[in-house]
Amino acid sequence: MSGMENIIEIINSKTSEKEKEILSEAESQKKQKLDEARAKAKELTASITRKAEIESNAEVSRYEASAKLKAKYKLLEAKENLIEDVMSSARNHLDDVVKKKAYEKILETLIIDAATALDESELEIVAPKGHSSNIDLKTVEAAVAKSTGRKTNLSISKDQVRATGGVIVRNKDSTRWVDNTFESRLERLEGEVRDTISSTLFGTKEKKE
Amino acid sequence: MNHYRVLRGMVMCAAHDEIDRIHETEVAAQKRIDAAHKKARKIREDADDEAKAIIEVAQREAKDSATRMLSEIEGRKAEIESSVFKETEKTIKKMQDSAKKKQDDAYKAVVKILLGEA
Repeated sequence: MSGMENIIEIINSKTSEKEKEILSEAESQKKQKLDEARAKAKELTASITRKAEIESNAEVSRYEASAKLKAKYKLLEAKENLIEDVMSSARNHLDDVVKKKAYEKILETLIIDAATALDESELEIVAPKGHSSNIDLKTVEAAVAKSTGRKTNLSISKDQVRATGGVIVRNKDSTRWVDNTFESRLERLEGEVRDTISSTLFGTKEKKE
Repeated sequence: MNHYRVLRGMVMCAAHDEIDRIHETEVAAQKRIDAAHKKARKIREDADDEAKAIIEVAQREAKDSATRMLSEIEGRKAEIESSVFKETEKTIKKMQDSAKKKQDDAYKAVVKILLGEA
């Protein structure tokens, strides 16, 4: 082979090498780019899916909490209805009892209760219209004396109280009194009454929300 | 003397031919290199497009999947509502049945409190 042929051979051989190198580098860069793209795609997919999962789970959890809260209110409403049934029966009983013979004894009890709390020698009874006839002052005075251990003079006031039943017992100058009308007792004892109903019906004390 | 001139001319002519051939080979080699660069550039551009497409497809598929996932929430909500509702109704029924048996006791206790007999 001549010198020239050698030179040409070398040029061609170097060119082939360079060609291979250029293409190989490009292919290598291509592979790297695609690998990076696949990795990025995988990361992107995971990120979007994770975000959707979190969002979806949060939404479901919120909904579940809300549904449970609604259920709790429904349960409380059902309990309230049962409590109200008993309260309503009790109120009806109070409305009816004033027409019965037993009312005399009830008034006596309420007067004794009030007189014992007031602990005074002169007391006045204020009753609803027409209810005074159910009060036997002598009997009540004796019962009060027995309960308080002191003689107490009782009188029926000319005043009247607007109530279904019960009485107001007060001292002579009306500075101290106990309101034992049914309405007042219902209002005053509502907490105790509801607690009693709740513990009897459900075995729990009522929680004030 | 003339022979010498002719021979020298022949030698010089042959040298020019060789230089020309080498030059041609170099030009051809440069063309091959340029073509290789061009091909490499095309490979890189195609790779860019392919990479972009991979990401776009993955993003689209993930978004579709996310949309599907979010649309399935309604089904899960309905299941929860039904399950909680059923459980609540059961609890209420049980509580009512139990309470109804004790209503009379509660009523008597309340009347006693209100009438001062407790």
